Amino acid sequence: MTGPPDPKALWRDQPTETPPMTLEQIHARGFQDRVKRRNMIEYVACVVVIATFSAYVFVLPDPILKAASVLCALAAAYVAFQLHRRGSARPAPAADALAFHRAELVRQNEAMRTAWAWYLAPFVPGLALFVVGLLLGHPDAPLPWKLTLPVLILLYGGVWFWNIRRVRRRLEAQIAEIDALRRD
Amino acid sequence: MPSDASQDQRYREAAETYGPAMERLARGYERDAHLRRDLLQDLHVALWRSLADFDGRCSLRTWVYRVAHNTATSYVLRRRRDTAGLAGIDEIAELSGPDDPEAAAGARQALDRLLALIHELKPPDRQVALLYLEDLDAAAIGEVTGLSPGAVAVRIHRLKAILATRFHARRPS
Repeated sequence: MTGPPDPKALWRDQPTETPPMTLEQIHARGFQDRVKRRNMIEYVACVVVIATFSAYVFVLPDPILKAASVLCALAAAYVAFQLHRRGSARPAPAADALAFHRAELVRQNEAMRTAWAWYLAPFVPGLALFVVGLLLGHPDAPLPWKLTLPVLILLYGGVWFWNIRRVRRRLEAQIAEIDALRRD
Repeated sequence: MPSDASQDQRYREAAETYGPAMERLARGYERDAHLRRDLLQDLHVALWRSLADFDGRCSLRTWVYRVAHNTATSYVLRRRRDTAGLAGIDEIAELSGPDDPEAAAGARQALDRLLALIHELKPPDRQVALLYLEDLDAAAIGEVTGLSPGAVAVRIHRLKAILATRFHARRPS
C-alpha cells in the first residue's frame, strides 16, 4: 500500500535543473540592466527635446530661432541614433561571461570617451544659432541677460564632462578588476 | 552601482543556501522552462543588487524570500496584465472536487498537479503557498509577505484543506 504524497516533501525534493550563476555572470547582468535603464532615460529625453524644439519651429517668430530649433531637434534625433548604435545593451551570449562583460565595459567606455563628438557636438550649431538669434533679436538687452544662455550651456557642459570622467574612471576600474581576475 | 566584497560575499552565502529554494520558487511562477531560466536569473540579479542595502534588520532568509517573491510577482504581473484568470485560495477550495487517486500515483504527476494548483493562485496566496511548501512557519511567512499572522493562518488552513482534497482524498492501493 502506497501512502499519499506529502506535498511539502514533494515540493522540496524536486531536483535542481539550472546551474547556479557565477558572480561574474551576475555582475555582467547587473551592468546590462543599468545600461538599458540609462538608455531608456536618454531616449525619453531625446523625444522631449525633439518635441519641444519642433514646437518652437511653429511658435517662435524669428527665422533664425526657427532654424536653430530645427538644428536642435535634428541633433537630438542624431544623438538617439548614436546612443542606440554605440551604447545599447547587447544580449549576453551563453558562454564566457567574463570576456563578454569586459568587451561590453570597453564598448561603453569607448562610447563615453567619444561622447563629446556624438553627444555634445551635434547640439553646438543649433544652440549657437539660438544664442545668435536671441542676441540679434534683442540688441539692447543688458549684458547679464545676453550672457545667461551661454553661461548656462557652459555650466551644463562642465557638469556633463565631470560626470563622464567619473563614469569612465569606474568603468576602467571594473575592466582592470576583470583583467586581474583573468590573470589569477 | 559598484559592487563591494561584502555584497558579493553575502550573495554567495545566500545563493548557496537558498539557490535551490529560489529555483523552486521560479517554478511556482513560470511554467515554461526557457522563460523560467530567465526569471531565475532575474531573481539572482535582483538578490545580488538588493544585498548592497542589506542591513541585518531581518534574517537573510526573510530578505531572500522577500526579494525573490517581489521580483517574481512583478514578473507575473508584467507578463500577465490581466490576472482575472487567477484565483484566491478560498475560490480554489470551492472548485476542488475529489480527485482521481490514480492520477496522483506517480510523484511526477503529483508534482505537476501541485504546480498546476500553484499557478492558479493570485500572487499573495501563491506566496503563502510557496512559503508553506518550503516549510516556513506562519510567523516567518507573515514576516516575508507582510500578512498578519491571522491572515497567514487562515490561508494555510485553506491550503491544507485543498491539498488534502487533491492529494489525500483516497489512498491508492
